[in-house]
Amino acid sequence: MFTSKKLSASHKDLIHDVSYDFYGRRLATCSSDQTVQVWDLDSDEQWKPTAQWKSHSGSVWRVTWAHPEFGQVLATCSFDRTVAIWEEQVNERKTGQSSSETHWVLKASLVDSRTSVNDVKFAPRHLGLMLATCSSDGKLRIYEAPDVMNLSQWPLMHVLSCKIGTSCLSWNPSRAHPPMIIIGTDDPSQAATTHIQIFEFSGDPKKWINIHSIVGVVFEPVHDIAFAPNLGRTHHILAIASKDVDIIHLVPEGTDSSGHTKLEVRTPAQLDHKGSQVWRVEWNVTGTILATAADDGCIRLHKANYQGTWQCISSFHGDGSVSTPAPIPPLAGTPSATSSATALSAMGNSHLWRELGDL
Amino acid sequence: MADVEYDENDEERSSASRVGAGSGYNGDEEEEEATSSLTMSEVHTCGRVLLRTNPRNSIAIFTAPYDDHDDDHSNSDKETATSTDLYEVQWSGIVLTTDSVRKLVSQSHAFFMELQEYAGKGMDPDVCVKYSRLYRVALYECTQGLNYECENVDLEENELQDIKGQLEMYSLLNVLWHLCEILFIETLPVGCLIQQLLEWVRWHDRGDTDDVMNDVMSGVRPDTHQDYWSIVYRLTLQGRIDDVRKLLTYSSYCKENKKVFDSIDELLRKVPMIKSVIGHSRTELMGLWFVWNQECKRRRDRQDFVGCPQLNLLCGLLCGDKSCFSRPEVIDCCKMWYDMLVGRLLYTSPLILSTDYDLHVIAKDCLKLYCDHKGTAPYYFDTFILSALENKVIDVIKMVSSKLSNWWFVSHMTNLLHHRGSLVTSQLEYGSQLSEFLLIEYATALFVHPSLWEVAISYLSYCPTQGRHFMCSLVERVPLTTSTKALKLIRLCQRYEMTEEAQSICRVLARRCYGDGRMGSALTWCIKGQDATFAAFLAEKYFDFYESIGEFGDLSILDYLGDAVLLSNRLAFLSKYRDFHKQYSFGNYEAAGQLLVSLLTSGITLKKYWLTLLTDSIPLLQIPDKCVFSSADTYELLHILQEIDNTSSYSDQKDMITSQDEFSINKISLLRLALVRNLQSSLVLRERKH
Repeated sequence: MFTSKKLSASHKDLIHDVSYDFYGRRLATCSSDQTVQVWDLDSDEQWKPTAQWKSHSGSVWRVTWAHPEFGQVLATCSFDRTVAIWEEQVNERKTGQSSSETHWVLKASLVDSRTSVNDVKFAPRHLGLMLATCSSDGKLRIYEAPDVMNLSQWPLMHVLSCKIGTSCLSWNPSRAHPPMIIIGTDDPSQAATTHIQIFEFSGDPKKWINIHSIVGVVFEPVHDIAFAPNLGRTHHILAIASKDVDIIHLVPEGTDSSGHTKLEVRTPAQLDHKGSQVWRVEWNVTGTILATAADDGCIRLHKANYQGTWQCISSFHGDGSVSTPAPIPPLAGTPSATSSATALSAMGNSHLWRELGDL
Repeated sequence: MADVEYDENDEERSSASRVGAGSGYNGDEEEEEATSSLTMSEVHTCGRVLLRTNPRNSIAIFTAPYDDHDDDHSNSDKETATSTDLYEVQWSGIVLTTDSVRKLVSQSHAFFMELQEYAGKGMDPDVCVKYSRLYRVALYECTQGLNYECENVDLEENELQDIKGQLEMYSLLNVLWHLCEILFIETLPVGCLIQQLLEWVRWHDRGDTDDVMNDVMSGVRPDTHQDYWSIVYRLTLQGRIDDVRKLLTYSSYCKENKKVFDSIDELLRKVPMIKSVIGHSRTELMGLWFVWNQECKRRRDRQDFVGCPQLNLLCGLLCGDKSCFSRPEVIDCCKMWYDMLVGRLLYTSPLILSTDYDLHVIAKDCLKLYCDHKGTAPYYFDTFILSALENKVIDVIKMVSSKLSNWWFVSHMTNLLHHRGSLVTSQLEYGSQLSEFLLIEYATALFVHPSLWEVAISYLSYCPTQGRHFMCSLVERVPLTTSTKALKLIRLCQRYEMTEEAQSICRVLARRCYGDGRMGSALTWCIKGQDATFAAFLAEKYFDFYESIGEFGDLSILDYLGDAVLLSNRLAFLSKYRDFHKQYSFGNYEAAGQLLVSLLTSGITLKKYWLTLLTDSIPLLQIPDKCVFSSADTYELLHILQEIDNTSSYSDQKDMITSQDEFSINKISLLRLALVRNLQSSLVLRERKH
């Protein structure tokens, strides 16, 4: 069963990104109009805008929430080459006239990039308050707030050159492995022989090292990349949005002579999007569903069954209306069930199931 | 299951019609859906459709401009169709809008927990049967409740439709559960299957047959009622022989032909109903039935009933004549094709086993006859029933999973079958894997509901391989709306030894309370979560607050720190300092003085607080005729004062002195004076003592 809600943001221009907080009860949107808007779910489960402010002097590409352990903190990156750290000022909430309005304060502006900053992501909670950014000049920058109570100090800890314009990055969420970041590039030029690079943090000496470049798997510009939540797995699962979607398994295979992890790259699945460019890949919290957004204007939900077989279980139009007739969630990826399902819906005239299954 | 090929062509065709039109990516496709292509092209001129996932099983869908990384001013002219609308789409694996379904969820959860307890001790098949029945009772109550909810007059039309849909689904799931129970969970002696199936058909008839029968009998001349023969056939198929005999007494034909009536009545009276098979062999029972069947056939061949075609047909049914079962009037009397199936089994192969191939063949035949007659295709639900009758339990699970937006049935049924060992006998080594997979799906579906996270976690705790990881990742995502809820969560974490998650919850709350300016609560959460860093930070904030105002904020927490002071030196300092104030206010000046000296000399006080603490000694130093500090203590204090003076940055830059510094300088000289005086009197005092 699907239910759909419409929210009308008061941005004066198109939205570039939205981001949910850790609990999914707050929402931030950013736009070409250089502002960020924050929404909260009220007690009636309705989204209410609670703040909007001008955050940059250019289009705001991405917005992202820090873990609530670090307070109510947002990071934004923009065409104006900066990254901004925002914190909600609660004192204002108390003294202000309107109780529903909150006030967000600029805590830090990270101005190291000389080109547009394309992506910004907070590190997983267990690594502390860290931030990675990637920009058009091909630099991956890692910042860390050494004192989590002082959000105005963000020393630049590491700068890594990827040699090609980077479009997206993802932190490995695993607690059991060394910190790892993967970056993707959408540079269409021939020079870009590899579109995905993997960086790992080594404790001795303390630095990030490019441990692997994935070659021979993805041949097209990469628009988005996402590590699946690690639920006790020893290997890592990645979704890569390019032309179609690739699911990649990275299997650690011991270490090399200099102590860096060796990775075996496996490609268990490619999710067919009819050759469309795929713009976004996102996992659900438990990594059981992968949502993708493609150039054909469709959102698809994919799911692996208990035997690891992937299947598209549903698709939507851009306005949230469902375009697949099948009710979900099915026990996805059980081939016999699917084929009989299609056969049955071809037979069709089941008033009952249309009633139950229609979305 | 795995041997059946996934039909790619079908999938391609459907998704082509779904996304192809208007998108430009399938140029050679026919534009079938005009409306759909219109919305699609609108979306396209706007930009790229993107999404984000929400932890609560939903996604936000929005439209972003195409030229993501161009100058934002250059493309503004293109964006005529600006839309800043977002759509949030949520999916659910079980719809919990009604109280009845929520009751089902909580009842079945209790049964599930009990069952797992039993399973730990080794499983008795009878226990499985017992719990299967309990689940079925819960399902039945759910349908009754939904029925009742339907009668609510305040409902909106769409709400009513929703409840009716739920009612229909759960009623049918009840039918399916009952059948699965008979076929896969019960251990039946030979010959008992048919009795169980008759029971099944009668139970799910929902009293409909009784209503019609009563209606027919209530007339003056029942045999003239239009449904008279129909109900006779129906009762015959359901094996309700006594009712059939009663009805036949009303037949005018029978009244006029006493001999005919006696003949059919005798046949009916002697229908071998195999209720108890103890002490009989299969051959014996078969012989018994064969004798009766031959007698029926003999009388029919003798043309005993040819005078009344309806009676003749009835006898044909008793004989198990296949052509009689496919007669339209017989099919019409059945509400469901499986009513027909059970009737046919009763009169053709009463000793059938659930594993017999015949069962499948007859079932398929009945379904086909029924559908052909009604001119419909089988519904999803019919195929579930058919698969169950084919003894393909895994197919049933898979089809229900893929057809219904409901994980309740499959998760509980698979778990039960797993305990019963039915998944093993189907030679599936992944039995437990499937059971766990479905439980996880059900649990994650429940988790989204604001009040069911505990239930969800307890289901996950019975998933041996992956459950724990799911628990860990989900438990942190429960919104911490109230502190009661948070405490509940923490207890849950402790129960399952999820220390890290419990600490994280405490840290989030400590941080939130601090943000709201509630220092005491923040410190409480901090101590609960054993977060030393944040405790130290808060202790400093407390002291800063004291320094600026001259009094402590929330006192109660400081007085009951207890063992918690061990968490951080700062906290220990704060607690001791608070003790000092208490002693002073009680007039225990010596004790207060000793505390102050130990605070300053033991090294737990931050250097930046030294001056404040020394200032606190001034009142003690100025008590007339009393010497609180001994000469040794005074030396210590003087030493500390000297240290402050030495390390102060303002000493060499006289021209940069601020008013704050001046204040400190004054304070220091004042202190020095007081201390020196104290030293003098303490020395005098010591002399006197000597």
